[in-house]
Amino acid sequence: MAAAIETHGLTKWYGGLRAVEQLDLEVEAGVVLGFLGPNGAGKTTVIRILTTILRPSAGSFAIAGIPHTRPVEIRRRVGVLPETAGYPEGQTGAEFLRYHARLFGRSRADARSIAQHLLGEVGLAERADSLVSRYSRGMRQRLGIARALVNDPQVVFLDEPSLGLDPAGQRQVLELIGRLAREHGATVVVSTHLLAEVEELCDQVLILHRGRVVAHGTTGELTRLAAGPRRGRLRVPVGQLERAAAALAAAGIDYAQDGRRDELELTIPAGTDPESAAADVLRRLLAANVAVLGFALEGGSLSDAFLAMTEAS
Amino acid sequence: MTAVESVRRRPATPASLVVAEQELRDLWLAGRGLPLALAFSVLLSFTTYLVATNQGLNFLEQREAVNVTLQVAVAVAALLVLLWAGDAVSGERERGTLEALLLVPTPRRALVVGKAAAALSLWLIAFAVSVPYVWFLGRGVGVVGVALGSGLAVGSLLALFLVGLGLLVSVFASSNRLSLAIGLFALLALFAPTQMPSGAQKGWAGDLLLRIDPLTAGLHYLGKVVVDAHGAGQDASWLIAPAVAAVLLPAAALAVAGRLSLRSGERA
Amino acid sequence: MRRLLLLALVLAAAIPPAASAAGPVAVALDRATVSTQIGRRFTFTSTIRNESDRPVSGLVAHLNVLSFDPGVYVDPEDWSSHRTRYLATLPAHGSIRVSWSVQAVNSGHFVVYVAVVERSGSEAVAPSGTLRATVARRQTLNSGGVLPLALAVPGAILLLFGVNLRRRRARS
Repeated sequence: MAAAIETHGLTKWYGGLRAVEQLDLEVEAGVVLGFLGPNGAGKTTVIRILTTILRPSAGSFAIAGIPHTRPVEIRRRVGVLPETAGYPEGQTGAEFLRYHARLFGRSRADARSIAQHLLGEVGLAERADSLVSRYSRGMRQRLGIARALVNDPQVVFLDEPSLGLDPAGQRQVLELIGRLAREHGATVVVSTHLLAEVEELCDQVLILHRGRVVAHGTTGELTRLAAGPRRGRLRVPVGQLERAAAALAAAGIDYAQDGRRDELELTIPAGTDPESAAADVLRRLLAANVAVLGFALEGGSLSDAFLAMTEAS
Repeated sequence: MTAVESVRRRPATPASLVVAEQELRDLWLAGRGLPLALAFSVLLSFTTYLVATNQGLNFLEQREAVNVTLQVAVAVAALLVLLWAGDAVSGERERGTLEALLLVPTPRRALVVGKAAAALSLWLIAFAVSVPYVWFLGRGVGVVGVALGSGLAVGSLLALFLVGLGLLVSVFASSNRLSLAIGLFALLALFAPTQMPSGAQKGWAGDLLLRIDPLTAGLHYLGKVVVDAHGAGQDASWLIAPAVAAVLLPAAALAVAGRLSLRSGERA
Repeated sequence: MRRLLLLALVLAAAIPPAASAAGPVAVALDRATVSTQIGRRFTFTSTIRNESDRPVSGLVAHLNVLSFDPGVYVDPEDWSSHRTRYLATLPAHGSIRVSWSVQAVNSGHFVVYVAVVERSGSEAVAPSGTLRATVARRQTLNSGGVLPLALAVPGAILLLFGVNLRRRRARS
């Protein structure tokens, strides 16, 4: 079975600026891929190339086995929520979806059924006949997701689906994406800055920086790949801060005093097992008669890996 | 199988008709079409009332009143058609709705044809609104049929020309403001020869300028037929420029439609 | 003498009205008067006769209109858009008939006549006699219905607009 997404040496230049450079990628069907990168990394450019909005300057790609030389066929098989999606203010949500269904070749009756069904799936059934101008930001994003599914695509690209949403809205959208990915069986590419949700939602992660792939794999693989130092937060009584600092210094552990008077931030070096390091810290503190009010390990997450990789490159 | 897959595939409407239908709905049911038609009808009501209550109106002035009504319809519709077509692509770009349209498998030309249909409807509605006024003013001087027939012909040629011009500008303009500015400038330039002194208009250069400018040529023809009672074929040479423009500009717009892209000037 | 006078009178009566001659060409109209209403068309025919023994070519016939009322502005181009006719060569003693269609665009008393000139040759202008046109006024525009019209059309569109607005508000 052909890969859902394949690229070979995909490159995009804007004058002297390299937006995407030599991108080689293969994504199997049914995978949920998190697409990460700092602002200006080229994520949206890659998505626009793969969805035939932009032409690559060099290289080739195929979507669901369809080569890039057949853009119309690719468009039949992809669904897209663009980053800067606008919506016609004078149309209702239902009208908007019906229109796009008909643009994908559906008859009037079929388009009506599809619109009704998708609006139900994204939780907009009750507002189907409301004007889009009356929709909140979250509702528009959900409408955009519905529109991305109107042609029952094999590959779905969601560019910043939770952009501009409050935490509750972000959670709703990402839950929706997860559910739809499972139910539709499509390959989903989610471009987002919400690293925690990518960890939760995505099977694979691809990190792009300055137009190049810096990492591609599962979240576990990427985290291990980064192998960056981890941190710990230690809370002790204010009067025992000096004694705690002395104990840490004697153990050769890097620390820094936090803005709060009774917290110390510890740095666990790369290559050190964090749990063992934490146990060692606690033993030394107890031996120094320092009362430990609280201790928590931090880091070792995707965001750490992301920061480490993008800063390094 | 998902619910979307399970829907029975019945034969679909051609894409250009789907786009045209939606654009017409957006213009007339959801947009500014009806307020524009209302404003236009108020303008015509005002001028017709003034003309009709003029006791000193003679036969020729009445024909001229019919001609003026027709020319107002053509001029106002020309403006609306050009501005609406000028918004067709650049406006979608600015509102962020173009990308979704570029993501469908619909041929780009179908998108442009559908938008052209909506722009042309502005002319047809303007003409329809002007019919009762032309009838009222012209029925006493036996000029209604000729006026409406020639008005429809000339106006349709000019509308096609301006739709093509507006779409061409819209495809290439980097912003909607630029597109509308170019459109307005073009319209002013097209009307400019009518402001030449009458002596200059009668010279060979002035005559040539009036003839090659589709707008002035069309309006000149209308005047000859309605006011001077010329036969339809007598001044047919004045319709060459409007007819050529009515074919060339829409054809050019269709030709560049394939280059429709998210950013102006970029090939998609 | 009396017989001669009688003969002259008979001959004079037999001469068709509105006939004149200058140079080798004479122009006659088939009617001398017409009464009509403003806006209506009327036609008349001019007969241009070559009274010389040689063919005459390069003749141009031109229609003219004038008003007896100084207050009435007459633009002959408004009365007829085909005012100038270029004639074929007239053989010796031959004639040609030219029809003219004229629309009375002013009311009042007018004279219509045809003048014929030769491109080369005689410098004289050969005018026809006069066709006296009396054009009656006519109420061409009944202004009584203008107010209902001026209100009805915008009113109908406003009604449509209102219905549409209500429909959209109900949706949102």
